[in-house]
Amino acid sequence: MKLKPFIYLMFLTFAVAVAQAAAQEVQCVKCHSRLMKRYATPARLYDRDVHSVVGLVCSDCHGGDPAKPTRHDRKNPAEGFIGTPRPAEVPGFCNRCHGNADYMRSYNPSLPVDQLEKYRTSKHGQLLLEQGDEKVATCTSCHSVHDIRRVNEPGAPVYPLNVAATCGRCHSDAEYMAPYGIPTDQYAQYAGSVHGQALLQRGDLAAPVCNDCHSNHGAQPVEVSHISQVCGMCHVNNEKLYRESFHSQIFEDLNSPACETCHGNHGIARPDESMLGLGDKSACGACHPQEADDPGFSVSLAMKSSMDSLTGALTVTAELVRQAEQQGMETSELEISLREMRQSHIQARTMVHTFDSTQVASTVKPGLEMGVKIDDGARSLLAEHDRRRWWLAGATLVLLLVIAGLYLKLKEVES
Amino acid sequence: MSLKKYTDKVYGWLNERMDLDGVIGFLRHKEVPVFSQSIWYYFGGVSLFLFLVQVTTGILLLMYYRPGPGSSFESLQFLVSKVHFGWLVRDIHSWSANLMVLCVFIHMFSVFFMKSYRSPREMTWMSGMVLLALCLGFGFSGYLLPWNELSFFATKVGTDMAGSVPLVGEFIVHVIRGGPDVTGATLSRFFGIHVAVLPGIFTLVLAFHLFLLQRQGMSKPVDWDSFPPEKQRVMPFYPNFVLRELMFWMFALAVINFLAVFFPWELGIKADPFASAPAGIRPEWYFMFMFQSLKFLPPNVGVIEGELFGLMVFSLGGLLWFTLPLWDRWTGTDHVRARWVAWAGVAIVAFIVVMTILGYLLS
Amino acid sequence: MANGTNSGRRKFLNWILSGSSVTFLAAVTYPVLKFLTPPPSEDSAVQAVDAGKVDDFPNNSGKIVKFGNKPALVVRDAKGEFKALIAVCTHLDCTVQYLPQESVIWCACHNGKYDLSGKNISGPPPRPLTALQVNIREGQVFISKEA
Repeated sequence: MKLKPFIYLMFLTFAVAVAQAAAQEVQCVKCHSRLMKRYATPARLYDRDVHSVVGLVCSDCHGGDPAKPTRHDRKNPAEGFIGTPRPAEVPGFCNRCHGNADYMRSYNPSLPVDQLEKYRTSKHGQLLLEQGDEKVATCTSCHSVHDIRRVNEPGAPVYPLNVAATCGRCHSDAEYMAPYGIPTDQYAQYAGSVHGQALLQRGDLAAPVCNDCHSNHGAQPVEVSHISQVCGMCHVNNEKLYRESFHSQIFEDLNSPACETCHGNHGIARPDESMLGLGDKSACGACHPQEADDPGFSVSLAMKSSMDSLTGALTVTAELVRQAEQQGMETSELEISLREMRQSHIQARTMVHTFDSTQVASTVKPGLEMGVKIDDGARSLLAEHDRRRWWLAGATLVLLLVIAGLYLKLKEVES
Repeated sequence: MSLKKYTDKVYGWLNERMDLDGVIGFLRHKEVPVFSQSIWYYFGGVSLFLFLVQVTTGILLLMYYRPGPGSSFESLQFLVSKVHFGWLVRDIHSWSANLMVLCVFIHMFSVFFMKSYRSPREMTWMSGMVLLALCLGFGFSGYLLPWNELSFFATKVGTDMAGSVPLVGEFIVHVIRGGPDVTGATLSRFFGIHVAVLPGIFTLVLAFHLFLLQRQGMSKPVDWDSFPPEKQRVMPFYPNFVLRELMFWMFALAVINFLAVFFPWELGIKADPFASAPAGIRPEWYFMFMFQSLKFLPPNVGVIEGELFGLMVFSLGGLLWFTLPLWDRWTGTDHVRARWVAWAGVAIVAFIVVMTILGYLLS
Repeated sequence: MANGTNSGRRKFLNWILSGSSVTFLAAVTYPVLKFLTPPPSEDSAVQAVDAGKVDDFPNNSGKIVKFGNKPALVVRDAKGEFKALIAVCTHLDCTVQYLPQESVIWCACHNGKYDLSGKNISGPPPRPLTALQVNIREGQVFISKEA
């Protein structure tokens, strides 16, 4: 029996099997990577996608069967082929997997599966799913498509450092947002705010960004009644004091947005004493007449006076301590006290939220007393430094006496 | 018993055993020439005094200083701010170091110009040159010990220069630094050298230098014998010269005090090997002339690298200077030719002064 | 006659010389002796700081003590074990405090929380607190930099 044809046959079978297996993976990509421009994009990008990394292929989302021999059969809707979903279909499209707890458990057990539920409550969800507005954000608007990264990867559009710019793609576009009648300066304001600077300039990932206050999937403007609670997630003491003060009820009755009334929402600046008392930057002065006999404004003036005295004392004291340290004096005790004085300052600023000037004054008092002690300490160190000069001058005088004595002795010896 | 009788008794007891009379008699007989330039004779003694100040303050500093990248700066900070008179001991040590180098230079050049190095005092000159080198070594090693920014980078630049020696340059740098870079290992090495090695060698060479001095007496100026008799004045070493010397020592101390009060030494910023060099690093003033003249050299002189050429010139010059009494046949004999040697010395002093000034002006 | 004034002058000169020399020696000896006397406060950067008596710390309480130029938080947990940490929040440098009701270290500035080993467990702090070593000797609590 001839062996050669047998070997050829085996080889052929083997090759077909390999081709079949390979076909499963690369069939979609094989065509799509050779197509023009935007038809080729998915294939080009997909290697970097998190779904590709965990082993999912085109058909796992888009349906169809790449193993079929003809294109018509591979993309057969009867086989479940979906193709490109319309914007209104996108949330449902992703939710087939991402809303299925059992399915997600096999890939990432701790990932939430309630995104669609939250999305339905959001402004984007309401406009899209109830009114068919296709301009709003869907899953792919923020998470991108075909090159989706994990949220904690710096390249993801929803990585904390990138979130603001991602939201800003639509929300800062005045033309795009024209039909909705809402401002488009949020990103600009945020970038200049204390939170924005912390995030965008210092890279502090802990600083709040759009989704921290507005929610991500359930994005909505924060309701007036809930603003202080949201701010209070981080600014615990400020929120508590505000809530317990008489002013919170007044703001509620006026339907004034709590923290936002004085601090703004997106463009929150670093607060300082100019928010109290007289002047255009005065938050109190925005509602209260800026007159001393207005009961509300007089409280503001009293608080400003307390705060100013502490801020002034802090600046002067810090400078004295710095001088002493530069002269080589031992200032570690003073530095610790200075730190306590700074804490007092922060506490006093927090106390402003009681809207009670006596509380502010009583918080400022220990700070001022500490300041006096530190001042005394620093001044005595500086005085000590000066004293040394005088002592040394005295020692030099003694030396001169010795020289004089030697000289006279010399004269005597030589006579 | 009165104080005088008591001191006489003690003296007598010691004298019986050590022949102190003999020593004092010798000192009384030793004479110091008195003439217009004899003021320069004091500078050797002042250098010795400043060395003693350094040893004393150095030992005191050793009580609190802890070498190491994590403790050098901190222990110094502690010393300067919390230890009683720590600031004073440190300032005296730093200022006296600079004054000692200055006095040693003045002493060396005054000996040169007065030609005291001629026979029979060749070994005194050469041991003195060794002492100068050791003194500069003290300065260089001590400068790193505060472990602040300036000292770190000055040491880096200074040790870099040794690397330009061909063949063995890299090896030398490695050995000096205790590694490829300036690190805690360098600090350990420099500390050991500064407080143990150099003081030991210095003391031995100094003892030899002083022994020669006492044995051979003070040198007289070249034309001493042609002085008229009334100009050939001398004074006894003890007590006259000694008293004068003591006055000078007290005056040096007063100068140090003044400097310590009005120009206190600062702590600086702690050294950070990963930070980039700050602007305006320069060596201590006594190395400035070498530093500046090396800067003026072009990158290449012929086939030799510029820096290497400069180092070669300095080494050659140093060798000639060291062996001066051995090859200078004209000083003391041929007055006309001897002038050339003297003028060469003037040129060297001028070069050093000008380069030092330029070094500061141009930085 | 001349001898008399001379010896009087001599005595006076001797007095000046010996007097000033003695003063000078004293002016040198006094600083040297004071220098050699160790100063009263400890060099806390390298040595240990005495944080107080063991009995001064009730269970589930915290106290701030000075450690060099920084505040340190010494906590005694509910079981009676001591922990010490540098009390400077790693977010924006506020001084942290111990919250007995939650058995957690808390920063009032932005609601950052750390567990008792210093690990940042909630809120803005990006890094844990620096831990210090605690040694109990003869009923006193000593804290020092970790080796």
